[in-house]
Amino acid sequence: MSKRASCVIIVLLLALAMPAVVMPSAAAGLPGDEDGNNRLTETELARSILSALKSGPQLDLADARNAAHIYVYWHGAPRSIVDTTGRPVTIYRPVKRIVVLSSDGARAIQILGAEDKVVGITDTVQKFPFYFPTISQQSVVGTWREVNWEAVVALDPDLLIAPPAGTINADLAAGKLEGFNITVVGLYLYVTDDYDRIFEELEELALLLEKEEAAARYIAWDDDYEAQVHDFVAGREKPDVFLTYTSGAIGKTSDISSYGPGSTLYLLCEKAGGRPITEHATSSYPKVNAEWVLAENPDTMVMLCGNVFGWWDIESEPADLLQQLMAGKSWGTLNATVNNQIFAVPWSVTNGFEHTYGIVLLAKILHPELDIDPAEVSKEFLEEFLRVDYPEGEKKVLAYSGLATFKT
Amino acid sequence: MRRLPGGTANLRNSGLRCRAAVLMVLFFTLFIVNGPLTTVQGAGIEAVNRVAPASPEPGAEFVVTLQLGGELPLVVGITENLPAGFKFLSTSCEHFEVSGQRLLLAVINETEVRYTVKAPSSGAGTFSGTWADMLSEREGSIAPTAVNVGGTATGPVSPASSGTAAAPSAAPEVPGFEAVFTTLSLLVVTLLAVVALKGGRDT
Repeated sequence: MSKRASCVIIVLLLALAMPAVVMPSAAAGLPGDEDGNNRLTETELARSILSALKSGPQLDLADARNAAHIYVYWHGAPRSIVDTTGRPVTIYRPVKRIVVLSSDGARAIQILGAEDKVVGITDTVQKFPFYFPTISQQSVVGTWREVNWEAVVALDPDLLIAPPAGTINADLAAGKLEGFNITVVGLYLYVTDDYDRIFEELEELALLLEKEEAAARYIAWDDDYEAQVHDFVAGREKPDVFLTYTSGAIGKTSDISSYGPGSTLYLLCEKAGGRPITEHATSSYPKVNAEWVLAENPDTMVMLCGNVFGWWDIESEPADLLQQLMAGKSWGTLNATVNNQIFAVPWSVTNGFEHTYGIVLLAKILHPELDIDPAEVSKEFLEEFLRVDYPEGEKKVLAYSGLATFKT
Repeated sequence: MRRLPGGTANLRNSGLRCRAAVLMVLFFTLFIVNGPLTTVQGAGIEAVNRVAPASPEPGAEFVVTLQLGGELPLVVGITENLPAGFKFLSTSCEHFEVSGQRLLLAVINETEVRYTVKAPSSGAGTFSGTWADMLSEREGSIAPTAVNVGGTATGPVSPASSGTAAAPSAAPEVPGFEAVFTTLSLLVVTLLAVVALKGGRDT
């Protein structure tokens, strides 16, 4: 074979291979939808299959299979939602590869049982392999404030889940990924001032991922516990509660951070049968001083602190935090102090879908006679919805107040 | 780079090196263009069986039945290869195409498909086929069915009692992997081309 002939063959073969490089992995529109009316008919499906079969022994059936799936399970139509940013989001093929840019999104995916589809995450998810045993192993594409968009594209996802607002948000992602055939959906997947929205978001994500049953199962579980708590606290006297968090309260006698109407912890406290003493605050995160707290004389104090996820391994950690909280403040006569009702609670009680457990835990703190064990709720959430092992009997500290400490 | 059998030095002046490079390019390109056939095991159709008379009369029309073992919903693509001399006439399947002796069927929510064939005046042959489940990604073969026109049956291959479905590949589908292979292959191709051209200059 001459050198020239060899060169010609190489060039020809390279030309043949190029479409595999430059063609997008999936074109817009339903596969097999020949007339482009977003309605896949039986005839169109059949033609798609026959066309694939004609390709010979090395079948490329991916699009025909997608068409079959859509015809049978999607009734021949694309799936659409309006995400929390207000943008219509439509998918034309089953989602197989997901990049998720928040831990709340990762938790939602895990609840839905779609973790096998995740190919890209942010570093927060990577840091918690206990909570996200599968998802945490995937490629890290950035942090909550910085994303490597080239890395996202390289992972070839067909869906990217981003928060609707914040430094990294869905609109930003949609702009960065324009032209790459990656569907962007903006969902918080955590509790906002519009409380029911978190459940709507879960249902919308479930629709895109074809996991409606899993979403319904979680929502039913949450409904059951919320109803139990609601019925129990209804008509009971609501204790006055001061809500704060570590860095906003420790070492301070003024400008102590609290939670006002519209914040997640405030909302959960109300659902748990408490009356936050900041009820007249004009912001979601008001600042108060130690004297004002003394004057309000709350019956219970709750400080969010410690780990973002889970619990403390030993009691001394939350005990130290409570000591630091009290240092420099003349709160010794507070009802909360006298009654040993100052609790250190991990941040995780407000985390996304884990808030069901948070409501029960707060209700138990505020109304100790409630006949629900928060540890059992935490166990159910972890085992049944996140499918991770609960540290049964390991005496992890779920909430600390000295005398009334909750453990696993 | 991996050495070719016989040693690179022996190839340098013989032209074989260039041919080897081209063959490798061909291999890689075919791999890229056609893509690896990967399937994922899943629930769905288990097998397709064929029922046909073992010894049809010469010139007679006879019915071949394909039985799809599975529950609705079903979406299956079937390729049937008719033996030479046997002529396809019609099918109960609404969606089909015929190309020479190949009958392509798109079976949607049916558990049985029939097609009618006209036998030649004499001779024997074997019906063969493959199926691909479009909902479960399972694929398999339909056991061959031998027919002997006007004669004695040549073998008990109809219906296929063993279930006939070829075991699906356990290789997981890795979407996007093609792009990696493509990129790697293109790099190899480019490298080979450079080497081939350089080798040619050496001669």
